[in-house]
Amino acid sequence: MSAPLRLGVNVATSALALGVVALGGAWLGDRGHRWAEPRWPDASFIRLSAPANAPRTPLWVVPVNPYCPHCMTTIARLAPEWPAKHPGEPLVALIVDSVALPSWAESMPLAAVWWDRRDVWRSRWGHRLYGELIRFDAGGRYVGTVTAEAFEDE
Amino acid sequence: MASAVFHASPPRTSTSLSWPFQPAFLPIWWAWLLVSWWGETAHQLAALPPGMIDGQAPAVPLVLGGRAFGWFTEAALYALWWRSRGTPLPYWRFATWVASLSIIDLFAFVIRRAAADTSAIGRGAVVLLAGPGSLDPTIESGSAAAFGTVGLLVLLRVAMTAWATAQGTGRPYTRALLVTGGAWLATRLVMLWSYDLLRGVSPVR
Repeated sequence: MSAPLRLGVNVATSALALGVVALGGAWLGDRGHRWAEPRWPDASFIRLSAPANAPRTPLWVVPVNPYCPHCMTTIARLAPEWPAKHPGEPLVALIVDSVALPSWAESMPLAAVWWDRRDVWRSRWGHRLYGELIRFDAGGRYVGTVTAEAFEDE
Repeated sequence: MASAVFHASPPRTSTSLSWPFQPAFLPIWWAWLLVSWWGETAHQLAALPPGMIDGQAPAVPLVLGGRAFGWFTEAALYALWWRSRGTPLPYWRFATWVASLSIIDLFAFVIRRAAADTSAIGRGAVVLLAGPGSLDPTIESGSAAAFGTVGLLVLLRVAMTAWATAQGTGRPYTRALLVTGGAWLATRLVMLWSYDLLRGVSPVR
């Protein structure tokens, strides 16, 4: 038996065990955190494109990272038929996890595009998966969240 | 005293871990294993939501390569651990056992898919064998991701891996099971916690 090998394996195993414990601690802290209920629009959101004086209606918000191909595929799939399938309930994009905006972000084929520059979606609402659909009523109150896939299956 | 210490850990020069099959048959076995996993991987990728892997043609070889990498890495980590404990584990034999035991997982995938089309008794048997996630494959929480597939088949694979370890190292089975089971449990906990942390309060369906 090699003493250096044993020492190296012991150190690596201890480091891994500590990592697992730290992850468990992070999980416990995350589970115990009280997240704010989403509200539309948050005061910190920046409107990039939206019709002026649009009436307040129920709406659906799709959080997207403009550099995530899966997000853009989801939007490309949802956007064309959305107005016909959901009249009066526009689909709105919320740019998340992006410190800088790509020039084409404002031209996404949706009713409106907003930018969550302050990371509210992730750090205050506790949401983390792109492509989900968050529903708000006409007063901006949170109704619920579904995945785009589940929504399309309905 | 020195003599007692010397005899406490006698050097090992041989192993009682045999190959899973006659060595001449192993190339055929490996080929069958890879072809079987290829089919299963293709089936699983085809069931992913649209847009997940569109335009990524080599997805099956990549996933299969990752799975094979997992077999060899798992075997290497166990071999390294036991070598550091003075009881070398014959790497290639053990790695072949690890890969071979993956057919238990393959079987679990197949019967999980069949669960929807079978009787209540059949579904109960599938849950017993392949875990509670067999009836609802949607993974909605970290606990479902980590333990939804835990049934008798998974326990059998862990037990068999521990058996191969004990055979290879000459250490008692209970000790091998402690290491193998502990490592398995740690990976499940990491999966549970990681899944929940990645998801936050976002739904998965």
